[in-house]
Amino acid sequence: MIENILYGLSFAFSLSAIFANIVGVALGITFGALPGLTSTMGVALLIPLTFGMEPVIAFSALLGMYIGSVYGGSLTAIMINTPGTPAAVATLLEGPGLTAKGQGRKAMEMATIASFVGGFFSCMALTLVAPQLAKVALSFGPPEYFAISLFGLSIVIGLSTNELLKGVIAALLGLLIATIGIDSVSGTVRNTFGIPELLSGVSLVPALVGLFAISQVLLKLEEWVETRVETYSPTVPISGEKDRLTLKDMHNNFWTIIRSSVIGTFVGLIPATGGGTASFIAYNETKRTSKEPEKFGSGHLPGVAATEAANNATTGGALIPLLTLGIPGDMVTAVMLGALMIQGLAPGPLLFRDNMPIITGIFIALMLANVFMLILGFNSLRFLSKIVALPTGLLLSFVSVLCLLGSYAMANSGFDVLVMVCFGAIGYILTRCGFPLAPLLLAMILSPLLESNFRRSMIMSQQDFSIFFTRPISLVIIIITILFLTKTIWDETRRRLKKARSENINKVSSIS
Amino acid sequence: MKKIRIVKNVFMVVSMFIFSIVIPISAIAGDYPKRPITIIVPYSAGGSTDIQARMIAAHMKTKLGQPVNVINKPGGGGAIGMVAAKAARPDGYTIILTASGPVSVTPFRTNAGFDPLKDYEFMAQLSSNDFSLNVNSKSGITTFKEWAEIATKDPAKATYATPGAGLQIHLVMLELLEKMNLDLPHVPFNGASEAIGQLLGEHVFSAMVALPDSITQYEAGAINTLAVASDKRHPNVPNVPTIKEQGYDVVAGGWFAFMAPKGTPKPIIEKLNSSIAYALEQQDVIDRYKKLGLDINFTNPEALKTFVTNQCNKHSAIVKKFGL
Repeated sequence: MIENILYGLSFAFSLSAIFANIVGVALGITFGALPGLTSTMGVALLIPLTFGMEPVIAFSALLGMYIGSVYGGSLTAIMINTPGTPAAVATLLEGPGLTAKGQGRKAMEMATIASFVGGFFSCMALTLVAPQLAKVALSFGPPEYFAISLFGLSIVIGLSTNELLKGVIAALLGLLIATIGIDSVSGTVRNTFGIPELLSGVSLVPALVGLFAISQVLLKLEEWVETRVETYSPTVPISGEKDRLTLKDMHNNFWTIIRSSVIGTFVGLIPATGGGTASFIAYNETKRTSKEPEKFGSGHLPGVAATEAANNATTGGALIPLLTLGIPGDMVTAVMLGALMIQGLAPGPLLFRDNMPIITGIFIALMLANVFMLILGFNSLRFLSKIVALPTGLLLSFVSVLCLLGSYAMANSGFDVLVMVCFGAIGYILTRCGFPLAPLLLAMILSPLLESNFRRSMIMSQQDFSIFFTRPISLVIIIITILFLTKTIWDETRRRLKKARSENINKVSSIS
Repeated sequence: MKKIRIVKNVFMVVSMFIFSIVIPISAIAGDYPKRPITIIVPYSAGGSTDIQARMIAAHMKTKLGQPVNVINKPGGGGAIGMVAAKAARPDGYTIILTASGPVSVTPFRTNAGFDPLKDYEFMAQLSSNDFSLNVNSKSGITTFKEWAEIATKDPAKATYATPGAGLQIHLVMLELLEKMNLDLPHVPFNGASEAIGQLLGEHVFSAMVALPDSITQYEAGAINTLAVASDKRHPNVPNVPTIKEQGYDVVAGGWFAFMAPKGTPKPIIEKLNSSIAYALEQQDVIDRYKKLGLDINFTNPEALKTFVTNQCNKHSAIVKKFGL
């Protein structure tokens, strides 16, 4: 045991491994921050370069890339209201609001700390209790996946306060869009209108870049056309030294971060779910348990803490089933499976028996990657926080070009650029009509899980619905979903009644 | 006056455009390659096709003296990449590393925008893999016969998982079940990892996946591999019988091959073929193939053409029969 740890330490702390790790993290942050370039792509592109390396050095680079890119997405989300990666979408709910208040730097500092804690927490879970947690991953069959996606979808309600109906409509639109492409259960082609590019469905990344980034550009443009104000001025005030993260903020968000880290680790270790789902669930939990839920939606620090802790906590979580069972926990770890194979480290139960020193080295490299992310992240914030000082016109052009490049680079496809532009228009129209966009995206992320697992369950049970209520995990999740929905609707109705009553009183008093 | 100038300009642009297409086609073979070559991979980066392309590309570069780049065009079960390769200029500077699914299954199930036998030149088969039928070892089933007995007794409970509906592996299972006169519920997943994960969690009764995707779990004792669908037993799992040995004539497997747009000159195809052969002889490539669990299986253009034609006929017949 001690011998293994010493070997592991010597691997992970070798000069070349540390160098590979730092380069990986730096590249990762850049990849994550650029809209359209995702963690999956970053890791995939790095793999051929690691063919000839020693396993621990190779994985220092790959894990650095993974950790860095999941974190990097938050920076663009907070500073320029553009999701760098799908995992950072939930950060859009509070991040840009904070920047608009001049607290961009504070938000990014919170994101950095939360990402570090989330990442480190899940890494400890991986190191200490991976085999036990792996059993949880295996206990998820189609009915359980259906239940958890149903729970995820119920969050739509939490995401659309005051606009419940519009939120539900947006979610339905998302579900509809997600039906495009080859149906994964029957294999039939649906709603592609004969366009081969749509066979695999609408690509998520170009869609989300269009929905969130391009629609914002269009809105800003509209503002300018209407008011003709001088655009050669900074968008928002630069956050001063006053608005930095304080110990009090850390103290206030302590439990939020821990809770979100736990959520992230669990969602991460369930295969086929990832950072996007985890951060939405964590955000919703934070809002639900908060004493001041009305503050959410327009720039509230705990929102950023929750989403960023959760999405980085999926990293260690997703590595748990990969290393212990050989079943990847998300898209990125699916790519890493190839990298492990080529290193001759076929993941699974035998990996821990045969290659313990290397595995220990990989664990330590993962911890180091989180530390490097914290250091590099904090050092880059000083420059990044000045982005908002750019004149609006310049910033908007810059964002548009990045989005264009990013959505092309995703699959070297001009069609994806078209998808991005279309979704930009959809996002713009929906926002102008007062529809929230987050439910639409959440539905697009969850729909494949929801629909295919519902149908798989029905195949398994010979078309008997009782399968969802006779399996314990599925039953518990469904009960929680129902309780959650009832409570939210109850609270909402009460709040409305109260509001209506106080408005009446006001009217009466103003008349008299 | 202005109008004439516009017409003149348009004429110039159009003729330049035509020349730019025609000239490279006429300059063939002799001094090929003069500039970098692109390999299209119809799957995302990081998958087994992509890893093979990058391994081979590195050695093709040494042999050909020009950079060989890999570009991923994923989507539509490989159809997007196939269409891109069809549309590329047939000058040998764009080729595709594709697989059995996109070539011999997808185009027969939907209008994918290409004809595998008419739109391409065949270059070389690269590798292949076997398919394996597996059960969770906790089920206590150790032989194909036991599996068949239980499935016959209670077909409703004997679900089988595959990496996806309508994929080659699904066709193989349909073929097998038809020969066995069985109708079992099919639970398709997204990829082999998911299918194996569900088998490990005992959510499905059995699963058919590619052998490289199941062998680790088999060696760890977590699953029992009952049979492989190949002609002969696989050297990595010598104790596992073939389906053929069990009395059902089902022989199938996945394969990877290089193809080029129709009209690519023969000498260029030959040159590329020999550079691929060279790459496959390198020790580091051989070692990595072993680690990936894929079998090197190199053929020349003619053999590949006959093979692909047979595969297409076979798969299109199954697709038609089962109405997929």
